Amino acid sequence: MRAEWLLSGLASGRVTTTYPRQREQELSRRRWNSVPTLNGPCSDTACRECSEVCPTDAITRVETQGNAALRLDVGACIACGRCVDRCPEGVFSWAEAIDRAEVRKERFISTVEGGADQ
Amino acid sequence: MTADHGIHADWDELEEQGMSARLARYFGHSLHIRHIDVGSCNACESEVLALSNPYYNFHRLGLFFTHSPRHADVLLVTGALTRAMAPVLRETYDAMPRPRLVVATGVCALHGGVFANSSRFVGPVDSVLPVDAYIPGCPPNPYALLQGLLKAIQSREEAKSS
Ligand code: SF4
Ligand code: SF4
Ligand code: SF4
Repeated sequence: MRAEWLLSGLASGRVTTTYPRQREQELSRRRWNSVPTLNGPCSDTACRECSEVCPTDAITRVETQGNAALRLDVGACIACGRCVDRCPEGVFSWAEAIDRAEVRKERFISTVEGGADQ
Repeated sequence: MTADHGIHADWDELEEQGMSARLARYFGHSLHIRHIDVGSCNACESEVLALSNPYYNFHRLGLFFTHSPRHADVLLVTGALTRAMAPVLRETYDAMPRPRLVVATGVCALHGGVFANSSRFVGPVDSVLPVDAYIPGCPPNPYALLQGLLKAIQSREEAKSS
């Protein structure tokens, strides 16, 4: 009786996750689009798209010469995906790490500097 | 230039360093979590509840939910703190025995998220309570919740040793 129950459980393929022990294997089973990340500087001087479409003002765009410094606060991002979809330069993409948590809030802020040499 | 989100942070190593031993040492392999909703949209709740289902099964790590703050080691706060819930959150925190940890869960608790401009919104959770770990996401997935809970235990230990 018990063996039958066990076998049927195994056959259905249902398992308990091994996270955090086999973290990378667990996370690579599936992809979630839950956190955006910055890939590089923005060199489009006319565009204001990302800072305008972000519903929670998680993106700040600071004008510099030629291009713009960007500041992304993941701690304020609701993962709506607008920045990833709308940026014509592909500056934003979905991060691989979906299990982010920090002991300090400042660590959620990432920045890229403007400047043509970057 | 691109922010490193720690995808290569080695949890195997952490296991070898004895995360389960730490849990045993400080909390006797039974860390009890009191979850409080201070103005959430309920999506965070559905993720929090998933922690105790057979798939995520956080009991295997020695983590459990409790209904009373008097039995709790961790206060897991979800939602945008509303004026009505601010005194309740404070009371819940005051009722907890020491050592106590606070984990802010979801963008609402960290920042306010889509409710940040509401007149009923008091502020992020860390404006009223000391927070030991922050979990972003709207809602954060259960892996992030587990990561946050483990980080909170670690952060307390680091603070103790320094
Ligand atoms: S995903 Fe949405 S909320 Fe997050 S930074 Fe991009 S636009 Fe803002
Ligand atoms: S949407 Fe892209 S190109 Fe436009 S301002 Fe933002 S980062 Fe620059
Ligand atoms: S962080 Fe997002 S999912 Fe969680 S309570 Fe706030 S709006 Fe809802």
